[in-house]
Amino acid sequence: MTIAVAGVTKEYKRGDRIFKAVDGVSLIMESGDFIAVIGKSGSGKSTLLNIIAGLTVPTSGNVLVDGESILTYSDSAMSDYRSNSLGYIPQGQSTLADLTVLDNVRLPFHLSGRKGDSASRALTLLEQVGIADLKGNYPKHLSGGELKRVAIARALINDPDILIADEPTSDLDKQTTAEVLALLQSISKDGKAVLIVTHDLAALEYTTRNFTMVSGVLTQQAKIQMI
Amino acid sequence: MKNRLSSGILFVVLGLLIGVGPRTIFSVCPVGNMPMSCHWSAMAEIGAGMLIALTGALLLLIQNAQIRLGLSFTLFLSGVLALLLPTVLIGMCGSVHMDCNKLTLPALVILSALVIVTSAVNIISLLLNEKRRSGTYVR
Amino acid sequence: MSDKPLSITRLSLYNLRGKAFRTGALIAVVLVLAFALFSGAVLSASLQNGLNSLKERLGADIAVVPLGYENSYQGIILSGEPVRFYFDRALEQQISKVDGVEQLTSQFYLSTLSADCCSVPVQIIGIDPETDFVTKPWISEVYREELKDRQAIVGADIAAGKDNKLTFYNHEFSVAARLEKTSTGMDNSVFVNIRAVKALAESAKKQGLGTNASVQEADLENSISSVLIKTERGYDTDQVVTNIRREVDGISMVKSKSIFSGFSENLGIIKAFIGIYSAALWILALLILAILFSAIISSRKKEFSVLRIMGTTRVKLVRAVLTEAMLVSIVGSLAGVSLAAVVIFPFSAYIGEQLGLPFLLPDIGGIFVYMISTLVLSSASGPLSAIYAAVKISRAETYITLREGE
Repeated sequence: MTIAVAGVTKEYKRGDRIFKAVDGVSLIMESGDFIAVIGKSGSGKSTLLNIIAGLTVPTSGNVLVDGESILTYSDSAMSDYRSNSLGYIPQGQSTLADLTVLDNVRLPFHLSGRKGDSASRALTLLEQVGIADLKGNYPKHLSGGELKRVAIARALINDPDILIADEPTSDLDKQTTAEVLALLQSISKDGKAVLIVTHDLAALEYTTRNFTMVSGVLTQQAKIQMI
Repeated sequence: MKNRLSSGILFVVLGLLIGVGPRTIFSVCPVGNMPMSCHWSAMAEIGAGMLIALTGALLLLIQNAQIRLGLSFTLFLSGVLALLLPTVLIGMCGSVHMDCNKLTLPALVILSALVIVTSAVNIISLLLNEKRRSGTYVR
Repeated sequence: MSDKPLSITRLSLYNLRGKAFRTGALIAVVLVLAFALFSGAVLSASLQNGLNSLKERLGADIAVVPLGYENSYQGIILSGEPVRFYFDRALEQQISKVDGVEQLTSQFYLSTLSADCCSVPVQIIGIDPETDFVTKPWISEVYREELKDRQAIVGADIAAGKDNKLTFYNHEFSVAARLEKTSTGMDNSVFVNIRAVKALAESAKKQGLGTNASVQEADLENSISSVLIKTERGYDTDQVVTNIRREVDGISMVKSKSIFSGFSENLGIIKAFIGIYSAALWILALLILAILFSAIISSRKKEFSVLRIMGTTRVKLVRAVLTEAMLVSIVGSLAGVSLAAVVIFPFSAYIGEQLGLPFLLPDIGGIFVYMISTLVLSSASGPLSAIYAAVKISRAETYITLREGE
């Protein structure tokens, strides 16, 4: 699957001034990519992510998935896109408190209308992210890192082609950060396209391509090989 | 455990109402030259009611699950007794217009039904807990 | 933890279970609503039923009783409070000649302080089988044959003794039939034929048992207690009353419609009150629920955003919210109706007495209708009040709500 972001701009009105959160961004993602967009908070990187996920409509420009523009999608087509083609890991904690870890992971499976055994799929994913033994627990008993893994497993349940993550390591310690980044890397190596936005430079070690974002403008960086 | 506290208190309250109610809040007919059936039913209910109240109090205090199961069975049977006394075993006055039939009898029926239902629920939940505990322990 | 599919309903259930206090508060509001609606409807219907029953059984248009005994007569009709009064039976002939009198019959009243059944006094009413038109319709519903001298028809609340026999003043009567409950004095009365009751009164007088001055003094053979009149069509009841007064002295008259109209007015007011109260309560419940749901949904913005991110359509989101509201309402409605049933049905006799009005519970069919309508109205209250907030949250741009929720 290929995602092409073409000249996307997002403007917000602040009083009588116009503020450009995203300014003429273009980007192509393909399977196997592990892309990091690095920037400070307020640089517009989260907005870019949300445009790719179809959560925000750009003021101008286009987002094409395999050549098809998602801007023309109806609500149900967009929901379809988000549920089947895209896995989104929001910033911070995003699990549902009243469901067990296992139920949290298998929820998108049922929301997308699929029928079948979601529990074993979910369990496999939990094993993949290393927290299978927590399946019966509730989110309030989990650490930040464990919750992040739940979110990752949940994002993968419908086997999407693209995975996007907003600040996946922002509230994690160094050790856990490394583990999560390694996990995301292995997912990209499995054939998915992974895009993360972050201000953590540690991500650079794992990615295939890097970008920086400053005041809404995206600039590609050369890959730095750590020797 | 919240459950233990609330069910124990409930039984104490129900037991007191069953025992004392027929002589106070929903009183039976006053004694004329000869005490009537409703008077004897009320006396008997003092016994049944106190039994329920005291058993409920024990339920509050005792932690052992097996004993609590036994107490719940006792409460169930006591509730049945409280129900049978004013209806079948002793009865009330003949006329439907007497207070004992209009007020006391329905009140006792409802209260004893509550005791029966609550103790049955208690029994079921205690049995289920036993089953769960003797099964696999899931973290 | 289970392998059951996570449907919208199941998700709603988990959400409700997770916030027990919040769920309990919502259920409580609906419970109060359902309780009030159902009990109001049943009370209203029971009062109306009682009144209709009274109206049907009034039978005669005018009752002629000895002077000053109007209230006693009303007592018989309404509550079966036993009375005895007598006047000369020759009056019956006099009255029959009055203009506007179509039909008439006489009755003879005797009361007992103790039948062998109970310590509640019982009203014995002697009817003339040949001329009776007042009680015949009701009696023929349960007993078609001739009422013999040793037979009695009893009202619904009379407890029959052993072998279905009743003993009054050492005379034994067999119970031929029992009337249906009417919530009027009929429930507390025993009907025998007039010959039998007079014989009974005579023997009571001889034995000096449970009698009072009026029985002792009366020449029982030539006495009756009341004359019941049906007016001719085309004649105004008040006109006939005036006519009778012109011809006959020493009597009082009771018009059935005046017994009835007093109650009818009271009932009208009560019903209106119940109706307004119920409507106001329903509106209030909707408002309270709307506020509660609004607050609850607001506090769950992040959760809804996450659901949208996972690919839930707007429609599905609204469905999820409405399902939760529906579940809460259904549970509250069932609880409220059950509670009302437990309060009203076992205590209906007591309630009727306290209200001091004829009170007759509706039949099973009627109760069922009220129950269903209450359940429907109360169950609808949740989704109706939640719908505004649900649609609002589904429309909000997901990205913004996600940010707000943080």
